[in-house]
Amino acid sequence: MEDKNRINNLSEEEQMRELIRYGKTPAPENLKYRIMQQIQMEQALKSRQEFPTQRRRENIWGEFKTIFGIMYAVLAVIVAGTFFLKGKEFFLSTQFWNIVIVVASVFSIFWMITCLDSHLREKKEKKLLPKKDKAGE
Amino acid sequence: MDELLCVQQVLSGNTSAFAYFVETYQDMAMTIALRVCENMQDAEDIVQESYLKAFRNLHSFRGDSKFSTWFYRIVYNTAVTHAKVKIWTTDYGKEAEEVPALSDYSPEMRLEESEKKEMVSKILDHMPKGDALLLTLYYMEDHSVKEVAKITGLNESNVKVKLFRARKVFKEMLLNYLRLDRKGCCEEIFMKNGR
Repeated sequence: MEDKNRINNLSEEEQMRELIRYGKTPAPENLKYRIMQQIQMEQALKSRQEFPTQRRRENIWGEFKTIFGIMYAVLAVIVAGTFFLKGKEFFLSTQFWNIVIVVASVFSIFWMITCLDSHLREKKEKKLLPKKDKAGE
Repeated sequence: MDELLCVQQVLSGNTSAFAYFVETYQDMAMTIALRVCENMQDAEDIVQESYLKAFRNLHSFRGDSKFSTWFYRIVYNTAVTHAKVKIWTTDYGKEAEEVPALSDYSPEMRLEESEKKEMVSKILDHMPKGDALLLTLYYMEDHSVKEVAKITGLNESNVKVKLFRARKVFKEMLLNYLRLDRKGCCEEIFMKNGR
């Protein structure tokens, strides 16, 4: 008797399952594309926001190498010129070290200004970016 | 397809792998949203918003439950927030009388597929939202009581009780529908049921 009830219940459940499945509402054809488009757009926006920071880091490192590379080149020229024109003894004079310090200071200040400039530019871009997004909505 | 692998692919930057989840679950998501908000346009918006939420929070999916359970919970919450309605009503009115088994009505149930579809949709549309939603979740994709409880935020015993009543209400409405003339008297049947 119990078994019969269980079998009846089972078939009742199966019938219910079959019936309820008729109530499924298929999503419109274009919904998938709309969703995927929105997700890809969001992903693109996200990487656009992440990319400048990475690029900025690369820029600063590149500028550092360029500026100080030139500085060492200039110093090398000065040392070579001094050696050939004034001899080895001039390297020990205060005048020579003053020149070296001036050249190093000029290039360092130039590098600092470059860093400050890129920092300010990035700050300005950050301020502008949300405004652009709002306008795009 | 291994869903966890697919999740990993999306998290590692392969956005197009997310299309698998959209393709697989969009119909059920649409059905859940429609059960809650009863409006096709709103349901589409809810599904779209839910997928975006799922994408943004995919890193928080740990794989403890099925992806479908996790995602349907998002759809359910989004739909409830969007529709601003109370889904779970405690007032059931008078207790439903003993309803005959579905098998007793098998001759009347020999309907065309489109007719069956129309009948079930109409009945579910006229049922209390919570009941229709529970039946949809439980029967449509074979979710267990535990999973239904996870999706809806109800406790398991509550789900069982509500599911029992929902089944009864559904059968009652179905049998009334089949007993009376099927054409054009649907409203009358539902009014008779007091819904």
